Amino acid sequence: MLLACVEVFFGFACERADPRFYGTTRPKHGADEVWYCLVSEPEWLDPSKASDSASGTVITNVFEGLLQANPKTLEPVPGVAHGWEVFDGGRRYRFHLRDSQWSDGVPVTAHDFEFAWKRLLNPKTASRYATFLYPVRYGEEAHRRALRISGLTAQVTEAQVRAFVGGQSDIEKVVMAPEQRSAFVHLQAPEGQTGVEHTRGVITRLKGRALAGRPVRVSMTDVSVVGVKALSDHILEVTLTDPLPYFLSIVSFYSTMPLPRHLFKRLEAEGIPQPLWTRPEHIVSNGPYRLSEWAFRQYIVLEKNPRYWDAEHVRIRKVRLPMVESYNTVLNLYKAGELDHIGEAALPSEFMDHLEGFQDFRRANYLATYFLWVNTGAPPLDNPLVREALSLSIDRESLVKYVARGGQIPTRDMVPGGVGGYRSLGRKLFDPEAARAALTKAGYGPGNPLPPITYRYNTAEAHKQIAEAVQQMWKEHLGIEVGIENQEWKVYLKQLEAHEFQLARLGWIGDYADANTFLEILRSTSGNNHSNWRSPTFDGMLDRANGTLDRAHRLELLREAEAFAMQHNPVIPMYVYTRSELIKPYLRGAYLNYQTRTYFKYMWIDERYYDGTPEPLPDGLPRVPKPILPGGSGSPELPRAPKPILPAGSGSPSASGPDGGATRGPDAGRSSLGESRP
Amino acid sequence: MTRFIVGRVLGLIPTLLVIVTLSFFVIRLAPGSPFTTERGVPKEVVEELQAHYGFDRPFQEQLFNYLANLASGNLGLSTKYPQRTVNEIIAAGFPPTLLIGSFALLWALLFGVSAGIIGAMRQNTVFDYGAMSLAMVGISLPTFVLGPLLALVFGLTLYVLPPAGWGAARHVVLPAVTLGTVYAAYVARLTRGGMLEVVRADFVRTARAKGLSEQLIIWRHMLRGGLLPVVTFLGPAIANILVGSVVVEKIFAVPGIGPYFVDAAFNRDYFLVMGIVVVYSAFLLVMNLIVDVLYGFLDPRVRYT
Repeated sequence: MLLACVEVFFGFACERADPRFYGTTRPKHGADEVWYCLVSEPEWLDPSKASDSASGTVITNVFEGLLQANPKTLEPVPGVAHGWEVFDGGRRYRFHLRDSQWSDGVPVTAHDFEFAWKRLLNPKTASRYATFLYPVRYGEEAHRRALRISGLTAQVTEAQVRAFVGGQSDIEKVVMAPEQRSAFVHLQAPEGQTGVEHTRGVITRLKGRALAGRPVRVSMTDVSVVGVKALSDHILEVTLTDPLPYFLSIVSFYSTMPLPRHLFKRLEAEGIPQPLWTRPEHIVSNGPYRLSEWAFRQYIVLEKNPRYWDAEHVRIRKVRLPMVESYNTVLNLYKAGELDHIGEAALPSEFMDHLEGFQDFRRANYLATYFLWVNTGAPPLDNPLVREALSLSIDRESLVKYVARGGQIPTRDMVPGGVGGYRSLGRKLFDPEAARAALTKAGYGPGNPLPPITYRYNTAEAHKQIAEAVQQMWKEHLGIEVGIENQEWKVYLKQLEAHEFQLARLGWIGDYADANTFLEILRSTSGNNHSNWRSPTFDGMLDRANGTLDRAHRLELLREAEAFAMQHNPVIPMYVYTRSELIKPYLRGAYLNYQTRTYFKYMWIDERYYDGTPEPLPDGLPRVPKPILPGGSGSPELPRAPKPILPAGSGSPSASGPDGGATRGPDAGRSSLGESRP
Repeated sequence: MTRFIVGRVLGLIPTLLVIVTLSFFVIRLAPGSPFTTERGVPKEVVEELQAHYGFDRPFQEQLFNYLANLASGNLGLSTKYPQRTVNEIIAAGFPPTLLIGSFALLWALLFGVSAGIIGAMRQNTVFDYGAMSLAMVGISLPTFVLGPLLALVFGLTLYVLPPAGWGAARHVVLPAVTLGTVYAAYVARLTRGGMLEVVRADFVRTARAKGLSEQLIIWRHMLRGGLLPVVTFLGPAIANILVGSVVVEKIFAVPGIGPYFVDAAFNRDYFLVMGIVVVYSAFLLVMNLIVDVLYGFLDPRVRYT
């Protein structure tokens, strides 16, 4: 009543919003614009250096790689390369580039890609995603600055190389490269010395020495040896160490996008520091959009790039990307029509029940698992039976339904089902009987209570609620008391790395759509394995699977490896994440996929909404380019794309691919997701 | 007077030096590094980054380098926003924060002083009680309640002001009011108290006896003395109000420096933390100095030699 009076007083009529939608449904801007929330300031707009999701979104739309991803299925489709050929059983790729231009009119060539890939692998660049190109031949050697011994004869064996270096340093591994007449040796630097210092010392000491009676050259490996080469302006050839089932997904990821070599040269000539090349006044790009304004921590504006090769199909001319960090504020702005798409923002779980009823609420499965690391190094958690008991006594269905509340998919497996065609283990979610039996079998019971255990989480309301719920479930089903404890994020990470915890939560986001990205963190050598569970058997199983060419067989072997690992419960998975979005009904072509990859070039504004709220229409399928090959039809050895079968349950638009294609793309980006999402 | 000011300004330098050195130690004591994320970064990359920022040097050398750079006005590089210098970041954030702060201050003084005067002149009447109750509400309402409430009413119900954002004059109103209200409330109570103290003072009685108008008595004679407590309060308050507020700037998506006070520490963005500490402490020290000087003008009993 009071508000109504105030309304009359001010003479403002409250916009009568359509109750089916959250807030206004009339666009506040022209039909060629989109307002999308970027949440935070991008760290880098440099494809080689970026690693956060805000940067990823801008780069994905401002640059274009050899391939791009289908916005709905994330299947790799042609980008700058209009076609590609595969040789040597998947070890060699030849990409054929179309005629296209940088935003300043200079042609995009294969040399720009070679330059970009080598820059990504150059340790000086300090890229966090350089590891994505480790599968390229000698990529790892160049990035980790292995010791290179060149001038070898074909007869030199690995044992001789080991003997040659062995006296000077511990050796991690040796890679023989007969075609380069070289051997690459990964050295192990002693405590307190950086890798570079150590390698330099070893080079000085080895200088002038002979190997197998012949003089050799010892140096630090650089990017010139890496297996990527522009054969001409239009052909890029890439050699891989081993066939990689998800290589094309990597090629559609933003880290591998081309760089304007000519701009770098010009800036250098003008004496402008290289890191400033992505500022709006300098940047040159080749994607559907170009950067026109960048107000630090306020907004970014993208404008259509008229020189983009497919510009005629780009309908949105201007993309406004405000950076709003508070999710509640994002909701307000969305409601008022100041945002068309909440973008990278996460909806607070307490709003979920309310928002789920609106038609502009959309949800998709997300390539990430929420789980507990179990430190298997100390009692009582060194006992697999105890771990089994803890894992089996979490009622995941209730956890998701009443606590996490985002439609997440309960799971007791590490790999989300459907990832790259993977069939999930489908382990039983909840079995309190079996859990109690396991605990009794482990020797614990009323007479011999379990020693104290602490469940740790990084400070955040959502994680706290889950911890409390799990604590309660263990008390109810196992009769044990588990303490819970929170820590600030950086402290938390430090203690995880140091194995100073018993149980600790984490979310793992798949880098690419292949089961390997979830299993690899359980490898005994992985820096991301915080469990203390190290199994050479498991490592061997993974190696065997990844060395297998036949796709179906490989997936089966990966599945066996997961089953083996999960028997030991080094992790206690809880659920597969989902992404919940609010997207105005007038914004069409805004597809959701299982990563946060957004392509503005497919979007458009439904002008019917300027005169009221019509019946919403489905978006249909995105119009994506088809590969054209030099020889004519389809690629000879194009890896067949698997069906996307993400876990059932949420009717996600991304889970129902049109032609079944989905070789999933890499996308890691969200460095803060571990913190911010339940 | 000049000697007093020069002496005080010189005194600021050692104080700042102590603050900087202590903060430099404290932030480094916090566990974790700017480069850790949940996704393990290759050792080679971390080493490269450490070297880039000079974190691989001995601690004393780092401190010395920092102080030397500071002396030449260089606040270093941010690790969270690697393309920006701390100078750029603070320079970009200060204008919005100052703008919001100035309007908040204006609001605090306009509302606070008038409410205080009304309260004092009409002591124990309905006006007094009304103004002081309003002030009590202002003091008790935290910004994280007032902010969303204002956004809800003016942004989402009446549609008269944007619920958040930055770039136009209309974006300033809600954050400034939110930020200023609590100060307005304090100012109102302090003004009322100050005025009540002088209302029966001899010089006011003399002024009345001279037959001066009530307006003139209030503005020329009473306010000068009555505002003294407000001035004392305003020194640190201005420093606080002008360096921004984490809560208000987050709620209204203002691109100011407020959030750095928290985020920079969480991100272990060492140089940004230091930059913020330096700027804030310098601001606070200067404001206190200004207050001391102002005292001389307002209170004839205070004289500097």
